[in-house]
This record gives sequence, C-alpha cells and structure tokens, in this order.
Amino acid sequence: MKFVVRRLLIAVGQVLLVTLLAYLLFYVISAATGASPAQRVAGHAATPAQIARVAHLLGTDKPFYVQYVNFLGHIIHGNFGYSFLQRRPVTQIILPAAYVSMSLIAVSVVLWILMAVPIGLIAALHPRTFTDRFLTICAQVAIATPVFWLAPILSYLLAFEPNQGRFLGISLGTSVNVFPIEGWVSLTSNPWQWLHHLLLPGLALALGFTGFYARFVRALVLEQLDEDYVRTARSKGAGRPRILRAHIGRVVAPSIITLLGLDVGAAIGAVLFVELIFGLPGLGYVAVNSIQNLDYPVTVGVVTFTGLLTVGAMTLADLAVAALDPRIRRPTT
Amino acid sequence: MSISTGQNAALGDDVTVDPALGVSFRARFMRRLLADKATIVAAAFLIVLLLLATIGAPIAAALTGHGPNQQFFNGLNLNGIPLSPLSHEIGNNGQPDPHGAFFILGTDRLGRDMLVRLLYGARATLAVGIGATAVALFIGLMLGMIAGYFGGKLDAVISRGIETAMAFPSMLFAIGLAAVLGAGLINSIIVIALFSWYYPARIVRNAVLALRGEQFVEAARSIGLGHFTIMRRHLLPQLTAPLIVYATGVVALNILFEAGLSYLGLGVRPPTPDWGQMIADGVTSDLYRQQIWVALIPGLALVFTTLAFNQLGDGLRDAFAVRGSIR
Amino acid sequence: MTVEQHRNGNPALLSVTGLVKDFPVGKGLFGTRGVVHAVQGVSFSLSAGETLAVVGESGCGKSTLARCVLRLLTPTAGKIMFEGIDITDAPASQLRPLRRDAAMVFQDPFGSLNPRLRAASIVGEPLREARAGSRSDIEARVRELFTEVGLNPEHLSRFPHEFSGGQRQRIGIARALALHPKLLVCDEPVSALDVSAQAQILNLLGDLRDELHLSYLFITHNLDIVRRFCDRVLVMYLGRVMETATVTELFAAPRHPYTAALLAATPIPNPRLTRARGRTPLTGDPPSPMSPPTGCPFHPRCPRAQQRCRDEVPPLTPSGGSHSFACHFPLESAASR
Repeated sequence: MKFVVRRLLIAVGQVLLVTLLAYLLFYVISAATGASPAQRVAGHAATPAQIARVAHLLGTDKPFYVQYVNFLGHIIHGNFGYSFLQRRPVTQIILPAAYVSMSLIAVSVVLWILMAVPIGLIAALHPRTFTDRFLTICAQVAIATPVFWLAPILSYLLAFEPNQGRFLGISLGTSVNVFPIEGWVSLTSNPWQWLHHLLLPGLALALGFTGFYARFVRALVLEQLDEDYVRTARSKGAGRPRILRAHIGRVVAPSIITLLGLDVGAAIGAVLFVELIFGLPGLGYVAVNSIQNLDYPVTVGVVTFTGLLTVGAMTLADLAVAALDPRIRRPTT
Repeated sequence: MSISTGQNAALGDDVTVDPALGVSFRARFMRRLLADKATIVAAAFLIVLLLLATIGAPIAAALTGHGPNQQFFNGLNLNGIPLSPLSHEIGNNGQPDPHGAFFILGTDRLGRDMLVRLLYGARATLAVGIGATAVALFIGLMLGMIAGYFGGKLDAVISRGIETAMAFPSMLFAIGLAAVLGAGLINSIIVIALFSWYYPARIVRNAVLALRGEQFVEAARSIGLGHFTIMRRHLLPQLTAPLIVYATGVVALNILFEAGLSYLGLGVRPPTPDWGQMIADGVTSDLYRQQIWVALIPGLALVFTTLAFNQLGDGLRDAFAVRGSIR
Repeated sequence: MTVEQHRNGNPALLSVTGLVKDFPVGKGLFGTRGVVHAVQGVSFSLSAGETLAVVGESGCGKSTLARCVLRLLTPTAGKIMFEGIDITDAPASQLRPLRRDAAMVFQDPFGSLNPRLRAASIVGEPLREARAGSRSDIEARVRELFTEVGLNPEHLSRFPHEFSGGQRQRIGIARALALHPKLLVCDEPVSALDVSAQAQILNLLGDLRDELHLSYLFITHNLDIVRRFCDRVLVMYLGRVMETATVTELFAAPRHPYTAALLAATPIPNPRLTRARGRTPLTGDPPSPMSPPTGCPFHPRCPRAQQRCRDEVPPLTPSGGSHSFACHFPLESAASR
C-alpha cells in the first residue's frame, strides 16, 4: 500500500513539474520573445497600450505564479483554458483530438506487440541462425527508420500506388484499394472503416517500436533461457511451450508492460508525424498547428494533457507490474 | 522513460562496469572489434560519410558544377516535377538534353541537384547530431557523477529530476521550445541536448554508484584524496567504455530527432540543406506521389546513417563487454 | 567507559572513547525509515608498538570501527584521539597527520587496487598526494617499498591483474607504508587469500612490525591468527565490546560467554581435544543491527542469560589489569578455576 501511495505522489510531482514547465515555456518565454497571447489577439498593428489593455482583459498581466495557480485550479476541474484564436475552450479542441490519437496509438500498440513478440521469440529460440540474423537486421533497420519518412513511403507503396493501379512501378491493371490513403472515421460512426483508416498509420507508427521490442524480447528470452530456474524446469521434464508460457512469460510480460508505460510518451511524440501525413486530426496535429499559429493556450493545453497522459501511463504500468510482481510491493533499501 | 523502483534489473538498465583491465585488455578489445564484420562496415561507412560531408561535398559541387542551392530551371520537367536520378536537364524541346546538366540523383522541388544537396545536408545532420550529443554527454556526465558519488539527498534530487525529465512528452516540448527560440543550428543543438542529457546521466549515475563501493575508491579516500580528484582519476577512466557505447546510441537518436525538427521547419534555416528538410520538401503538397525519389533519397541516407551508428554502438559494446542497454 | 592509557609506559597512540556510529537505512518518502546501530559505545586504546585484534562475527561492527578510526566515516558520537589530536570531527584539511601516520590495508586484494593503474602508480599515489618530493624521489621510494614487501621492482610497470592475490595484497601493504605510518589498520587482510598466501602475508606483516615499529589494529574473525600474531584482543558483538584482554588471558580463561563460545567453535585438528572440550553451542544467527535486543545484546543466544540480562546493558568491568568484560554473569576467572 505504501508503495502505491508513494508512486502516486511521485506521479503528482511529475505532473506539477510538467505543467509548470509548459506554462513557463509558452507564457514566460514567449512573452520574452515577443509572441505573447495578448499580442496575438491584439494583432500586428496594436500599440503597446492596446496590447496592455488586452492583456488586462485576458488576465495575462497578472503575475506569473497567480496565473499558474489559476491554471492548475482550472485543470482540476477539467478546464484546459480558452483559445482566443479559435474562440472556444481548449478542452473542446483537445478531447476529440485525443480520441483520434488514442485510437491510433491503441491500434499501433496492438500491432507492434503482435509483431514484436513472435519475432523476438523466434529469434531467441533459434539464436545465431540465419533466421535470427535476418530478423535482427530487420529490427535494426526498423529502429533506424524515421517515422516521418516511413509514413509517406508506406502510404505511397501500399495506398497510393495500388490506388493508381501500380505497385513498385509495375502496372497492376486495376486499382487496388487495400488501404485508404488518408482520413479519419470515428469508431462510433463506422467501426470497420475506423479500423481500416487506422491500419496503415498504425503500421507506420508501429514498425519502429516493433524493432525495439523485438530486440528486447529476444534479449530477455535469451537471458532467461540461460537461467537456472529454466534448467531446473527442463530437467524436471517440462516441455518448451510450457516453460515459455509459465516461467519466461511471467518475466517477460511485466517488463513489456513497463516499457509500454515508458513508451507512451515516445509514441505521442512520433504520432505527430503520422497524423500529419495521414491527415488524422489528432493531438499532434493540433499541437503543431497551435504552435505555428501562436495559439499558445492550445499548445499549453495539449502539452499538459499529453504530460498527464504520459505520467498516467507510466504510473499505471508501474502499478500493474507491482501487482504482478510481489517483490516490488515492499519498499526495499 | 522512468526509473521504477526495483525494475531496473528487469529492464537491464543497470549498467555493470567490470573495472576494465589494463594493457592486455586493449589488445583483446581490438581483436574482438576487428572480428566483428558488421561493425567494421558500419565504422567504415561513417568514416566515408564524414569525409563526404567535409570534403566530399565541395568536391562533388566542383565536379558537377552544381551548387547546393543552385536552382536549375530546367531541372524540372514540363509539369514542374523534379527529375529522377540519372537524368539530364530538360531542354527547350521538352526532352532530356544529352548535352545539358546531368543529375546523378535527380533534382528536388526547386530543381536543385539532389546529390550535392545530400552531401551538404550531411553536414547539418552530423553537426547537430554529434554536437547535441556532446553537450548532452557533458551535462549527463556531470550530473550523473555527482548523483552517483555523493548519493543521499543530492542523488535523490537528481534522480527525481531525471525521471521527471524522461516523463515529458519531449517531442512536443522540443517543438515548442524550438518554435519559441527560433530555428537555427545552435538552437537545435541546445534543444536536442536538453532532451537527451538524461540518458547518459542515468548510465553514469548507475555506473558510479556501482563503482563507489569498490575498495580502491575507499583506499583512495584513505590516502586523503579529495572527492573531485577521485572522480577524475579513479572513476572517470572506468566510465569511458560505457560512455562511448552510449554516445553512439544517443547520436543515432539525436540524428533522428534533428531530422524530425527540421522536417517541421525548426532545424537549420533554409536554404541550408538538411536531410530532414529535404524529406519535408518531398512530402509537403504530396510531391512524393509524383516523384518518390525526392523523399526517398534523403530518407535512405538517414536510415543508413542511423543504422551505422547503432551497429557501431552494438559492436563497441560487445567489444568492451559492457552490459546493459540505453533503456 | 574507562580509557586505558599509559600501559607499558607508552602514551596511547590511539584512544577511542564511547564511539557510536549509526547508519540511516531504508527509503521512506521523506527520508529514511530505520537506523543501523553499527557501533554502540566502543572504547579502547592502542599504544605504540602494540597489535590489537578486533574479533567478532559478521555484522558486529568491526569494519565500521576500523573505518571510523581512519575517518573514512564520521562518528555519530564519541571521541577518537590519534597522537593526542582529536580527530573525531576534524575537517579534511586537519586530517593530514592522520593520513600520513595511519594507513589501511584492505581485505579484497582484487578490489582494493585500481585495475587501470600500474603498480608503481598505485604505490606512489600517497607520495604524490602528500607532495613528498620530486618525481625521482618518489620513484626511488616506490622501488624501496616494493622491495620491502618482497616484490620484484621490475614488475612495477605491471597492472594488478598480472599479479597473484598474495602479491596484490603486498602492493596494498606497500601503498600503506608509503608515508612511514605509525599505525596500520588491517581489515581482514588475509581472509581473501589461500592458506599459503595467508602465512606469507602474516609473516611479512610481522617482519614489518619489527623493522618499522608499527602498531596494528587488526580486524579479523580468525582466532588462530589472533593467538599467533596479536598482543591484545577486543571482542565485539552487535556493536558493543564484550570482552578485552591480552591474548594469553583471553585464550586461557575467557570471562564472557560469547568469547567462550567463539573459542569453542574454532576447529582444532585434534579430535580428542575437540571431544574433550565439550559443546558450548552458539545457536542461531546474530540479530539484525537495526533492532538490537534490549539489555545485553548477546542475551537471546546466551546459555547463561537471566532476566537481568534482558533489562540492563552490562557495563565493561575491569577485572585485574588489562582484562575487562561486559557481562552480568561472567564465567569463572582464571584464579577460581
């Protein structure tokens, strides 16, 4: 129990720090560089006096810490601010975008786990064979590939070209539509289309992580296969599938869960690029637009929200693993 | 990425540094390294890349007579689409002119020579990637050393800092910071270093923590050596091996990071060539659908470079026999 | 807590009074949640030329004691006087005399030498740190030290891993002797060596003691070594002194039940004698230093324990000359046997 409390307190601390820095970044620094919200709203031709008046109206001329405390208070009530540019509450902008991003990440995570675990396992079970080397190289290439490049390439190869009746330059005769080129369909309106439109983006996002996780699984399984407890099980006559499932699985699963918690943050970073290419109106898309439009309330809102999500995911992962692993529950020196 | 209590072992992120040995160690290291073909290839590739970026680029520009920012009106076909690799510029009749300029890797959106741009672009990529890593290593080394050596409250504070920093959605923050600070080489280096120092910090901290209990450190204290002397003379040499290994890994990450930033227009200022920017050029307004090479070539360059750094890191790690991974 | 001084006429080189060392342990949310009482009120003194053994089971605090004496740790309470100077809390700048006149020989021949430095650098480091002369002076002294500990000066440029365990320990001793110390604190210097190397190192330490008039604070758990090598003994248990005496006194007639049990547990190669001495079983493991028992720390395992042992910490009581013990119900003295 103490562990849970302690972990939650750490999470709260992290959230505070994230929000503080987000606030610091976009209000303090932006004001210093001459791009404060008041200036934005007042427009290019505004005089300093007018800007000051707007600032007063917006409440952005109050001391920084007052604004920050108000901001925190709003967050607790679920209010992430107000976008002066778009004239609507930030929450209204963020939530639908979050829905899109979450869908994409969810599909992606499923894809990459489904791909990485078998690949890692196969490589680990046939170490140093051709299969192993081949898979390892594939994983390495996957890790080295930038998402923002892979996405358009995949889109081109698997969506656009077939659509035009070609594949790798070779004519196919007819138009083949396996993957839609872009666009978003919500789950509620059409579940199959929802999935259909997320498969290719999800794949683009997933490939890099698949490489990482496949290597991780391989290394972990190889390590476990050498451990004494596996040898003991073997000597008692346990067959390999059983060993994998009962013993090694118990070690690998929690590690993967923890990694997933950590990687949500990385995924959110990468998801941005995928959203831009495939025209998915997710958080990344919203964030980048808000930065380019100097719509900082939205930016801070998105960063805060994402930070909360990341911290939440990491905390959940830690707690889940602790629930599975009795060693962690008691505080150790 | 966070440090969860007790999970370090499972994640393999506790770096155990067996105090490395002396002269014969170096010989063994070289032997192991030279036997690893993949790493040799990777190292060779990187050396060639470095040469290309520094002297190869101007040579290519001189040989072809094309500058990196020189726009060829006839470098685009009649529809305004860039040329594929191995093409001549389009003559007035709309057909390739065999006596005109020749583009080995084709042209880009503005009719510029892709090959020359690629070579010059390597400069930005390597400069920012390696530069940011150097800064990150420096910061991480300082903080990690202090945290691991002094322990106690100092360590607690620094470790919490590292964990929290890792919890940030770094890409978003980096974008925000870059947008606010503006684009440019130095700014990119600063931003990227700010979001990658915690990798070496954590590694160094764990290594120093493990080494601190060794009796030769106690012996040094019993002689009366000061803390910083001990850090410099007894601890630092043990750290060079893991640091080199992780440096290559971090460079790989930062190269992709930099490419991502330039892709969004937040890296080096145009028209300076940069691989990320070149990809962006090829992707915006869906240009890649009409001429895939514009995006494909810089992307492949990125993939191979990152691959090479990763492979080099793996090979060095095996040769040093350092355990643990960057995660 | 009496402090013995001026034994055999010499002023005490080292005198420790009421030394206490606690370690905070455990990870609470806002700090620590537990204390290890490693050393709880230890007093003794050491004269020039004396070899004092500190014996006890693992966890009794003897290593902590050694490190406090050399100020590798700062005592929580108590006083340490070295050569008449109070070094208990002294800042590093005032510890120069200590660093010069006292040195430590460590237990682990593998770990106590920096594997990346050559032997010459290792042995010379104290000299360079104390700026004890020019480069050639230091080189000469390093050669001298190497020969003194029985090593071939031609091997000075080698790395630790090129030496055997016993040789490495010699290097550690050479390093300790660099600045002509008066006191060597040896923390189980031979426990990690094989038997033949043990004998050689002990011989070396003995020869050095005679040649250089050294005093030793000798930490060990091996009573054979104590009998053959040391003058006086301090028996520790869970951070407290149980008994202190000369070696002859202790082995002839131990007063503390714990000492007797330790002696009885030492294997002797003669089966008849082993049978003859009977069993004074030392049952169980020592309790954790984090929660020591009330009263006498030994009472849960002591065959002679009574209620009083649970309630009162027995004080260290002198009994004729140099023999003291901390027990409410001590064994019979030599005189009454």
